[in-house]
Amino acid sequence: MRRALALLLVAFGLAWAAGCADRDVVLELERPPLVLAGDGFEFNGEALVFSERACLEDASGALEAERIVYDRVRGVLEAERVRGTVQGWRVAAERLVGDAERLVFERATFSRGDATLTAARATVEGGTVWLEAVAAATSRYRFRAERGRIEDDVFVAEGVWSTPCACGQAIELLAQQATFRFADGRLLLDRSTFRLYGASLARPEELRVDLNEPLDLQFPLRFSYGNGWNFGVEGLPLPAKGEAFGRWRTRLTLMAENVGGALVVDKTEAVRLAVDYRGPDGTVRFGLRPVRTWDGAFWRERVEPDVRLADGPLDFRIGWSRGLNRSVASFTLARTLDLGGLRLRPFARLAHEERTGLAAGAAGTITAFERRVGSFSTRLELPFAAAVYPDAAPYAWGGGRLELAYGDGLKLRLEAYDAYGLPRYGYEARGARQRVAFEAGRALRVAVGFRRELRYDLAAGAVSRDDRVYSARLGYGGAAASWRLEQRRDPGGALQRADERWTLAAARAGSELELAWWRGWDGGALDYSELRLGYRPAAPDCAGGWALAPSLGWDLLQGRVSRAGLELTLNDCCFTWTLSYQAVYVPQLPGEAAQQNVRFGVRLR
Amino acid sequence: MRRALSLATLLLVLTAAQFAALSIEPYGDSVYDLATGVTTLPQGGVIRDNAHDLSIDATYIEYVEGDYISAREAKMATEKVRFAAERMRYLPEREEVRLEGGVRFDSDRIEGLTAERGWIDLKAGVAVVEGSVRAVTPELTAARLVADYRAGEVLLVAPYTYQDAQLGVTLRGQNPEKPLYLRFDTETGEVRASSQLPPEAAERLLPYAKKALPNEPLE
Repeated sequence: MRRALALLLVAFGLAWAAGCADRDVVLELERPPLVLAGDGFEFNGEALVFSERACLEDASGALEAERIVYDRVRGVLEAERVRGTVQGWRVAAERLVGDAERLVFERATFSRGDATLTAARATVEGGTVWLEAVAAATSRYRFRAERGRIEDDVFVAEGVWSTPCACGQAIELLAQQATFRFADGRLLLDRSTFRLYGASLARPEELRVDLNEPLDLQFPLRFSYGNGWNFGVEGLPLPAKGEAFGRWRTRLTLMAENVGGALVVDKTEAVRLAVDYRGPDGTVRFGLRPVRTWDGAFWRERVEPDVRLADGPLDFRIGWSRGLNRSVASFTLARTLDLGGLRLRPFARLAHEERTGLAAGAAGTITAFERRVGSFSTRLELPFAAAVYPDAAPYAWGGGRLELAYGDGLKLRLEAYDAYGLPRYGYEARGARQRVAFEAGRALRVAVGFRRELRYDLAAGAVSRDDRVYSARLGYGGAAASWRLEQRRDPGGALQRADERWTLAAARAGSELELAWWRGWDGGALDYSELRLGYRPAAPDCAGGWALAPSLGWDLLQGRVSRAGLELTLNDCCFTWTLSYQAVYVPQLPGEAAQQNVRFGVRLR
Repeated sequence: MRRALSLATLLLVLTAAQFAALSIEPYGDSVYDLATGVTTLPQGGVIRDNAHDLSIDATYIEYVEGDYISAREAKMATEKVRFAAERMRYLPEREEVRLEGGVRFDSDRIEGLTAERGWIDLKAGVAVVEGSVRAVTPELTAARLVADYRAGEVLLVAPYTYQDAQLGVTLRGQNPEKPLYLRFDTETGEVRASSQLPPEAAERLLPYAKKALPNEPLE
């Protein structure tokens, strides 16, 4: 939009590109100061007529027309089917009429990239451009205005209608007057009305639209059924005066979770209430989640806090730890310093988490080596972290990450880190780990990898797990075959659990088909084996378009359907609606429960 | 021999020379060279061509009867147009006139036209001028101008300009292949112009727009 309006200024200032100098006959007019030209010329005593590559030019540029007539008696200029290209902008008008005082474009269109602006009539007079019946379209908005004027770098429109919908008018922004400043790309709507399906939802005195910023319109209503009903609003904007449309800083969440449904042991019902504010410098979140859990005989009730205050280097949080089953809190002071080859983030914390106490230290990365010779590039980084505690031994962690690449067809990544002492809080905790990853090929792609990481139990103050992941992938075009094995071992190296995934996937023109074989072992014994088939068609891209994405799981151990799902996506002019059903009939993965889930969603197209 | 020449000169001075359709009235002496057949009027004179309704008034004239008439500082006039040039050569048999040096052309429609060279086809009634072609009324310049002075038609060969100061317009043409065709209304004198010639006019006038003028210098 900003560019479209900027173009209007340019076009109406007659700053067209490409001159008329190469035409066979050229007429120079003094009032208005114009050049008319064409390969064909006719003068019948009253009118001068240019045809065959007819052209209209001022000191700075030119527009082509099918025919240009200059009535020398009346001093009036008329051009038919005017069009030209200016630095990538396409300009077209059905008719152009001009005299010594003004130029009038009729049914004019200006377009460039994804922006198009049309006006039934555009009059250029004394440095001001008057527009009638203006319409504009960008990738995010469509506009109409009864009339408008461009003066210097300000565009003022009256009787404004706009919508972010691709077609139709489910969402409408109306305004008696709108002011657009080319300098900052902001549109200010005065005495505006926000309408949804024709119903006025708000009448802000002043509304700002940031035309250059992406529009963040998440539909806030939630509705689904799983272990109970889930419904409410999530991220409902609370507009404040002077805020840009779709760029609201304050949002409200009020959700009922798992209400109703079958009463089973450990069933949890909750209400989530939160107010979020995201400012340019910091964020504030204040949330509470009253929860009750059925233990078979009674409801156990608690209130989970969710509070966050972040402003520059300060970060204060109060939250709920499911593992500890109690509230946790922290106050952190940290700042990132970029010192060229060294990125350093010193911190000081007061925490009430797995433990309660103070910690101070720093984390960061040293870029030790970085070089590119022809297609060969190499990079070595040394990440580190260290913390000291007033009541415990210090903790340090560090290692190296080496990347070697040849063009974009060969890549090798090696990582190794070790830790000394034990971390007391999750903030600074990083486990000893090793990783090898290798990728090769462009059309035919091969990737193999191995990763090992030691994980801490912060409450117990010890290493609790040794996680290992092996992976391989072979891809060609949109087809790929992959294998992945995840192992969880105890600190002594004994295997506790393993999960394996074999996957065949094909993607074409935005649609995907995947066949997977998932199986897992618990302590060496096979505890599930499942075949999964899923198809996701390309997202519909037109109004009325729809897509159906089915998925199916088969329990190979029991020989029956383990899961099924179906998701319907439907476009209307403005919104994309989704309705999905996902059911687990035979639980497979650890922690999975037999349940059915219906989810409803809507978002701006 | 010399005496014979003087005698002949005297005889010629006493009787005005007569071409078939030309009458020559010397302002002074008329000298006939028996060896070459060239008659010279050193003080000039007036030549009238009744067949072409043409009169030539010059300060110096020489001619060979039935062949050519050359003149200096000549002024020519027909019913429709007036020409002047420093040097002129008239070939009655071929019915053409060549003009060179300070060529000036005036008609009811075009006044104060000057050029370096000119060529007139008396039979067709077409005059061609070229070389720094410039007119006062209308204000125009052209690489070449072709005028059918009887029909009131003009071709301007590019590069040309045509100015109307009163209207504040200047017309320029730059394609030598496409001359501008002007037609003056015989009654009102109003001009019509077009980059497209009517087929009949194209056939009649375009050859003059393209024809190379004789470039041997006139004596």
